[in-house]
Amino acid sequence: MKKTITRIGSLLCIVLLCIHCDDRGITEDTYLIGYQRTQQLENVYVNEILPLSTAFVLKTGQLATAIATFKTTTTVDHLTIVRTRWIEALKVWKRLELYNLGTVEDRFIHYEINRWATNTVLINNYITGTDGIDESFIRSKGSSSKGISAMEYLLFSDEDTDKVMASFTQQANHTRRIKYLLALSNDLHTKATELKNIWVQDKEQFINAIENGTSGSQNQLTNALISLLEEIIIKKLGNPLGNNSGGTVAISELEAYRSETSLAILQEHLIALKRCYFGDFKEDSIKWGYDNYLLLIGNEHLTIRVLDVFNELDALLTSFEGSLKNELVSNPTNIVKLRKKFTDLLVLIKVDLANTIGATVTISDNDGD
Amino acid sequence: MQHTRFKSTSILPLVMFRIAFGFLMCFSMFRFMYMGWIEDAYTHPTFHFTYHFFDWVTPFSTNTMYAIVTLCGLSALCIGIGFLYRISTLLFFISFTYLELIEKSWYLNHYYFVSLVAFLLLLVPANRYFAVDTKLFQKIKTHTVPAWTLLIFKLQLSVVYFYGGIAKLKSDWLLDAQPLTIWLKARTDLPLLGWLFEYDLTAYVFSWSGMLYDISIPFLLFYKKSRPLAYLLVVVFHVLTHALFHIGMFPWLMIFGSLVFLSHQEWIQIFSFFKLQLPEFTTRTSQKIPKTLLLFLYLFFGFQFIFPLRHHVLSNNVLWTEHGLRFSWHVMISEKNGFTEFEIIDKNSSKIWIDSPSLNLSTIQEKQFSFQPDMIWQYAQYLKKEYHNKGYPNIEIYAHSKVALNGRASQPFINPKQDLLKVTHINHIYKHVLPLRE
Repeated sequence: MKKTITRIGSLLCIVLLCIHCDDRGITEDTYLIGYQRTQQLENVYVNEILPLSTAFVLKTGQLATAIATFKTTTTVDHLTIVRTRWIEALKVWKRLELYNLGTVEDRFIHYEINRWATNTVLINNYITGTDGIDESFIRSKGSSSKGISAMEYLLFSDEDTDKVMASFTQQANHTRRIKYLLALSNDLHTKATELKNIWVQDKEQFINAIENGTSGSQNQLTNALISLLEEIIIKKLGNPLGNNSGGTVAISELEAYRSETSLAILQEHLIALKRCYFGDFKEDSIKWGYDNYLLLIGNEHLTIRVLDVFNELDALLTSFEGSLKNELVSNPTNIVKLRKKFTDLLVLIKVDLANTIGATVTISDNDGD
Repeated sequence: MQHTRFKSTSILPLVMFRIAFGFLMCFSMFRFMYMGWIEDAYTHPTFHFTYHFFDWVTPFSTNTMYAIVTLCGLSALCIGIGFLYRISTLLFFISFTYLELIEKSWYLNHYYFVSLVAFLLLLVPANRYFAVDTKLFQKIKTHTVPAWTLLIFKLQLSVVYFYGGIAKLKSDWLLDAQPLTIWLKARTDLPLLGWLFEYDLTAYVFSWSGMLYDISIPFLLFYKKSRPLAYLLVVVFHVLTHALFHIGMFPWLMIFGSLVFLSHQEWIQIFSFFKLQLPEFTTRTSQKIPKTLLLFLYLFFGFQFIFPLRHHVLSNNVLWTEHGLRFSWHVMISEKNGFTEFEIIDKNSSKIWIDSPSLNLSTIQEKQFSFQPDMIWQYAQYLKKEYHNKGYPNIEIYAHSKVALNGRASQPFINPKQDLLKVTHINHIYKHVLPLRE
């Protein structure tokens, strides 16, 4: 019996050792799937997340500079420049927005950068108030009155550019309004820099988290794809279509309807989603993405279906003449089609991809079976 | 009262089982609290998927739920140390079963198993040795118990394993090695063993050996000569499943639960290995069991043997329809993902809403309900109430759902043309599950 117990104990120790010992030294030859995962994560980090974060810092910096100039030279021409810079920053952000995961997600910094719909009542209260307006004032306020959407409200507060200009030059508190805009831009630039720094510090952790659990980066990436698609379907298309109000179309539910950039936002999201799926970020590099991973585990058919839906979505978005706002008013069935197509993509990612790669589409651990 | 005589045996295995179960469940309950699952499972969701016939079981406030889980954990501790054993076991059984019944999306096979074991513990005198109760009430101390007091736990554990093995006799598991092909390829990061999971053959080896293990292990544990090897297999198997699949308490419950198979002599040898001395217990030849209790146990185990097989009558593909899947020991047998949204049409005004359940449900609720027909039906009933309250009494509700099972492409699940409000009984929803295309 003693021998048996000793044998059981020894074997148990070996099993535990196998399971819990250090996993450094994984090589390409021994762990192909693990290696592929690392390559995918490195690709997305090096060729997408970091360049986008850097570009976002640059674009928000240029935006802040343009607004500083606009503050001193408040002309229509400079307003146009500011608007152009804002749209440039917005477009970069709408690609980067996908990557709300890991430490970045834990810090809630994405809310600080872009939370919509913005609270216009609160913004106007701050402008008509008496508190000094600077970056620290903005920092002390909640996310609903700052960031990209708050700036959009100030820069596109009316369809008539003259009226927007008047809000910065003639209306009561126009000086405080420009100050608020400048403080917003400075805060946004600071937040963009913070975001980049988080990603720089998080590099090793992100790339090396190749495990399959909820903390694994590939798992988090899959959940990020799902989250963005759900937001598009429910909030960015569903609510404007009136899915939550019995079918009453609501223009004001569109994201960035004032600047009429809703369509551009969806296009940027689609580009980001496609690039992330296929790992297609850079011309002269190996494009490690989910498609390679699926090929390796023997399910390349899914990629063909995913590519078809991406192409259909691209064609649909390109076919819209004018803004999404116009399309919603003149031809809402096209928006219904668009929502349905995004739903098809969501099913392929949330159901098919998750089922194939064994991704955990949950935020919790579980307790057994 | 009429009695039947039953062979008597040492109390030691029963006592060791009680101690292991009590301490493990105590740890489990406080872990549940620590993980923040009281909020996730009970108090944060605004809507609960209740069990049929148990709609009246609802959660209390967060503080009260913490008190109940604490009570449950402490009563488990009392079981472990054998303090006020009967009361503690009753409290544990009631509180644990109550917690289990609140939310169907949190159903786990091992939670059901724990409730059954707690119930069976109520029937046996497991506090008559190595227990605080023997200090308080010295007369109760004994070295022997009727053999049925051990047999019932062995049988219950055997049911879990054996039916778990029977459940694996499916083409997905045996011919396609699914879902293990998916799961193992997702765990190639496992040190030392991970590289093995790259190969398709490994999933087949694991599938077949898993099935054979489940079906044969109860017999190997019963048989004295094979028991050491069998227990070794239990440990290796469950430690491996723990490492591979992060499945919480289940492996430990089975490892510690299987201790009930060890005999008095084997326990003495284990104790002596650690230089601990245990006396030899003299056992009487037989002890009495009331006939009513015996009859009850026959009925109980008759139910345990038949109930897990009900899905053979209810469904031709239980993994797809889930009809009769719960309480039938289908443990870790499918990788399933789904998506479901609802279209609500007001017949009076022709207004149409699209409901996205992710806005109303917790993450686990949404994941589980999306491929379980009865829960989809329950959610439709919830929507019906919500829309009635909003002033729309005359509505139709349709589910648009897609489900993927064991690596197959997603396919429509519930008939999208069926008004769910015309499905009057929860069990009728299974008639509207579309067939699985291979």
